[in-house]
Amino acid sequence: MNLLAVLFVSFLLFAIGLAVILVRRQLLFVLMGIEVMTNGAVLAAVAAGQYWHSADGQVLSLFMMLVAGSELAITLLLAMLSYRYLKVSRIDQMNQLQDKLDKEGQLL
Amino acid sequence: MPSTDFYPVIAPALTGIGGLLVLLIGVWPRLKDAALVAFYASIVLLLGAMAVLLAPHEAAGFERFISLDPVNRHGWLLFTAGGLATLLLAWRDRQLLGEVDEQFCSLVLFAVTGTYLLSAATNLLAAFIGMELTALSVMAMIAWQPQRKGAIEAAIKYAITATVSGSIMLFGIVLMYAGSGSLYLDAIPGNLGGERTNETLVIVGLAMVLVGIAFELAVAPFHCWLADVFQGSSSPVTAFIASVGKIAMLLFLLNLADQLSGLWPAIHGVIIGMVVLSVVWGNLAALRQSNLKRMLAYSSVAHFGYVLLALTAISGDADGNADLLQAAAYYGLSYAVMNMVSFAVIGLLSGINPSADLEGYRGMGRRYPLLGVALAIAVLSLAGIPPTAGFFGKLFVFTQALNQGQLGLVIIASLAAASSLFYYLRILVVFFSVPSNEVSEEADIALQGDAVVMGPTLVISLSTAAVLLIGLCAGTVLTFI
Repeated sequence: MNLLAVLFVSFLLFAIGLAVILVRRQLLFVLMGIEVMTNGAVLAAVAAGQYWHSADGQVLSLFMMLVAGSELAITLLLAMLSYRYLKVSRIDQMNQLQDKLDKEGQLL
Repeated sequence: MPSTDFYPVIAPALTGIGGLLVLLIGVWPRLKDAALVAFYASIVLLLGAMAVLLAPHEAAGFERFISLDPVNRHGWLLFTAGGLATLLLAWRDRQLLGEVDEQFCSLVLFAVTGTYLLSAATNLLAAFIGMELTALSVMAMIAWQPQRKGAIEAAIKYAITATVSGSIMLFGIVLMYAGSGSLYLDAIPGNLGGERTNETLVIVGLAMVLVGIAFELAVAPFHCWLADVFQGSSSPVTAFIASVGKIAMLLFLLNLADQLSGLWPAIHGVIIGMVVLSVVWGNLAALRQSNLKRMLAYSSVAHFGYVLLALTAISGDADGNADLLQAAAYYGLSYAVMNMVSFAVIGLLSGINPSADLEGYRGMGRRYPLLGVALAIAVLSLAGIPPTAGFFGKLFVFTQALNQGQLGLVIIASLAAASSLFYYLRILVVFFSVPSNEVSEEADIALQGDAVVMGPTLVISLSTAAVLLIGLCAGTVLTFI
């Protein structure tokens, strides 16, 4: 099996996920992008485990799925809270917190 | 057959199972008072600290998963103290009043467990689990009391950053595994050079792990989330992120640099870039903030820039590695205690000034002299004025980096540190100037009961003493780390 080919495919998945996170503005799509990124890493882990003939890769991928699931549980809850309290589901509308710089002459 | 000692697992097991038990106690039908839960959670943390203290002093590993060596021991004690301080601060915190229940306490316990695993990891899998455990707990704690302005927004910003950085770090871990065939940090350098190994993959993986860590440490250019998260979360949680979460990540980074020092020169360029950007941008952005929490966030970016300065000179054949790592660990320790003081003060004053805008603190140092003195010591330490801990941290890191010939970087860092004095002194000027408005009676701390002020006061006085002691006994502390 060609390890580098599989790694390339998994990196492609990873890059697609990252692109989704950077481009989409809907919170739910961002969360999907994160899942795609994690899945890219899972694919690479399984491939690496096969390449080295050890179970480490599969153990690693099991833990990754576990962590991805718990991440999703909390982030979906946050998305729900954001809709309930702020009536907002787009990340570009979350702009209560930002750098508000001092006006000149008000430094002290 | 890997050596198996059970000492290293006792403390994480205590806090982890203790967190679950605290959750159970919370649903006990006859329990009315949540104070009992916080009390149990503190007992669990104290037991964890006891387990660390009673463990034998030589390094002991558990199944090549985590290992308890002298550096981690003190790290673990610091995290336990940080967890206790968070509980004490949160208990009667103005912004969290009535919301601190068994879930909050158990989240603190889980986060402390995560920092134990992360800082003592000898296995990349352990580091990943520890990091995620901490990040997930902190994520939920930031959103505590969702009605508060900015709470949800800060939690979502932190959640997206932490999960993305987690994925990047994960991909890096997998690449390191694919390239070297091992998840054990101590086995990776030895495996390289074999027939089926691929050093390029390991180096790319290491760089990605470094980017993931840089996100979590909020080093420029990965710092954008930090100021918003600090501003949006309640002060006890901010204190936990700054003093416990980040320091655990830093200890893991130091461990990584120690074990993989042979590969480190390949990523020197990345670290140097981060150092320069952090110290310059962190200090410049802090100069014009009008909110104390945001100002401390940008100063944190700069501080981690100084810490990373020590890591620019790590290499496989240098003898100075141990000194460099020691200096960085000392800086991390001093950073943790100084920030604990500042955020405890901000939390105690949150009844008077919930937004933490700098203008709202005018005259607070005169009204509450002890708070003012504590904050002054912490801020002077952040600025690096002797004889505080912050001064010696900078001194050690800069001298060690100079010994390794990093003259240019040290000059940039010193100039940036000098410019940081402007905004630190601005905090003090506002705190000790003549008050402009009267404080309403219900918000006045001096008029509130002992129960409200006792916890934060304890935290503030102990950590202020620690800032001075760590500074005055710097030589002794350095031999301990």
